[in-house]
Amino acid sequence: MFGADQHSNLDGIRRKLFAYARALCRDRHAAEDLYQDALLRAMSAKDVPAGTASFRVWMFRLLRNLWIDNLRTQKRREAVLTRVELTDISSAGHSGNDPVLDRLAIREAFMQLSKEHRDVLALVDIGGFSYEETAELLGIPRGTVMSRVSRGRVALAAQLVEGNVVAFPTRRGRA
Amino acid sequence: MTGLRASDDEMLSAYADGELSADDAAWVANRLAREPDLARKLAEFHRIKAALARLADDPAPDVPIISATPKRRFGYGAVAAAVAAVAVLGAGLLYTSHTAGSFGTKPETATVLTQKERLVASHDVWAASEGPYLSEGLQAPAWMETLLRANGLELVHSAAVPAPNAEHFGFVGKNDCRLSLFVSAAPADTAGTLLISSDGGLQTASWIDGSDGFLLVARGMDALRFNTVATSMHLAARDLRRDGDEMLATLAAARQTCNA
Repeated sequence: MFGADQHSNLDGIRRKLFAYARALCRDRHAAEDLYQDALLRAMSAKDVPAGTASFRVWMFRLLRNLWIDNLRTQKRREAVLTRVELTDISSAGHSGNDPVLDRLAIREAFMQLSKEHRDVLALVDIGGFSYEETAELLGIPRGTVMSRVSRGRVALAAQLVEGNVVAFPTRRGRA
Repeated sequence: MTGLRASDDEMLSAYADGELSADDAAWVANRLAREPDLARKLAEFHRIKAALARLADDPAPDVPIISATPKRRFGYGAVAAAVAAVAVLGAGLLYTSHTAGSFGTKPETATVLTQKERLVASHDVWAASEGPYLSEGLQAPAWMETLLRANGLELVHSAAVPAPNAEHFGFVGKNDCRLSLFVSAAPADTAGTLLISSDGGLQTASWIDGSDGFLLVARGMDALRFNTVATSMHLAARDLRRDGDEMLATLAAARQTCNA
C-alpha cells in the first residue's frame, strides 16, 4: 500500500520521474498523462517498495511499462522509432548563453535521438541511475547500456555542435 | 575529435559517469593527459551530462490525476463514479507526517484531526442506542451501501452531526457489530493514504478524498474485516477506474465473522 514512506520517496523523485516521462514522450501533454497515470497506478498498487532505492527503481519501471503499454495500445511503436518530420528553426539563433534557450536546445536535440538512446540517457543522466541499475531496469546487458549512453551522447553532441537543432511538430498524443 | 574510435567514446562516456573500474579509469586518465582531442571530448560529455540533468529542474505537474468533483454531496449514483478521486500529485506532503493511531498533524488535516474524538463519541452514542434509524432526507451514497452490504453490513442509521459538521452513517452486521462512517468537509483538492489504527479495541480508518474527509469507526470488529472494509471504501472513493466487481469479490473473499 502507498503509505507515508512511499509518499516521501515519491516527493524525492517527482521531478526526475516527470523529466523521464518527458524524455520518453514527444510532447508535454503526453508526458503529463503518462506521469499522472503512473502515480495513480502506484498509489493503487498493493505491494509498493518501502526502501528509497527500490521504490525509485520500481517507480521508474512502472512509468516505463505504462509507456510501453500505451505504445502498444496506440500501435505507434514504429512511428516512435521513426524520426519525426523536422522543421528547421536553426535560424532562431540560440546564443548559447541563455539558460532557457540552452535547455530548449538540449531538449530539442535530445528528442531527435532514437527511443533507445533517449531511454537510456534519461535514466542515467536525468534519473541518476547507475549502468547496473539501468541495465536491470531495461532488461538489457550492462555493456549495452554503456554503448547506448555513449552513442546517445555522441549523437547529441553532433546535433548541438553542428547547430542542427530543430523543432518537431507538436502533435498532441504523439508518444 | 578526429581519430577517436567508438570504443574510445564508450570508455570516455563511462569515465564521465564514474562507471569504469579503477584500472580502466587510470588508463583513460593517462590517455587524457596526453591526448587533447580525448580531453575535449570528455569535456563535451560532461557538458551534455550536466545539460540533461538540468532537464529535471522543470517542475512536475501539480495537477490532479483525476478530476471528478461530485456535483451533489449525497446524490451519488453509480458505484464510485460519483465520488471525487482527486489525487493531487503532491498529496504526499499531506500525509508524510501521519503516524499510526493519529490523523496527522499537518494544517491541512487539522479540521479532521480535531473532529475525531467527537465523531468517535457520536459512534459510541449510536452504538449504545436502539435508534434512531434512517433519517429522512439523508441518503447514503449508493456505492457506500453496496460495498458494505457486500460485507454483510446493513445501513440502519443516518444522521447529521452538527458539531463537527458531518454526516453519520451507521451500519450493523449480523452479530450486531456496529460500524460508523462519517463524512465531513475536507480541504479541497487533497487525497492521500488510508490510515488505519487500532487502540484499545477502538478501530478507526481515515482518509481524505477531494472535498470529503472520511472516518470509519468501529469497536472490537475483526481486524481483517475492518481493514478490508476500510481499504475497499478508500479505493472505491478514490479510484474511478477500479472495477466494481473486483472490489466486491475482494470484499467477499475477506469476509469474516462479525465478533463484536
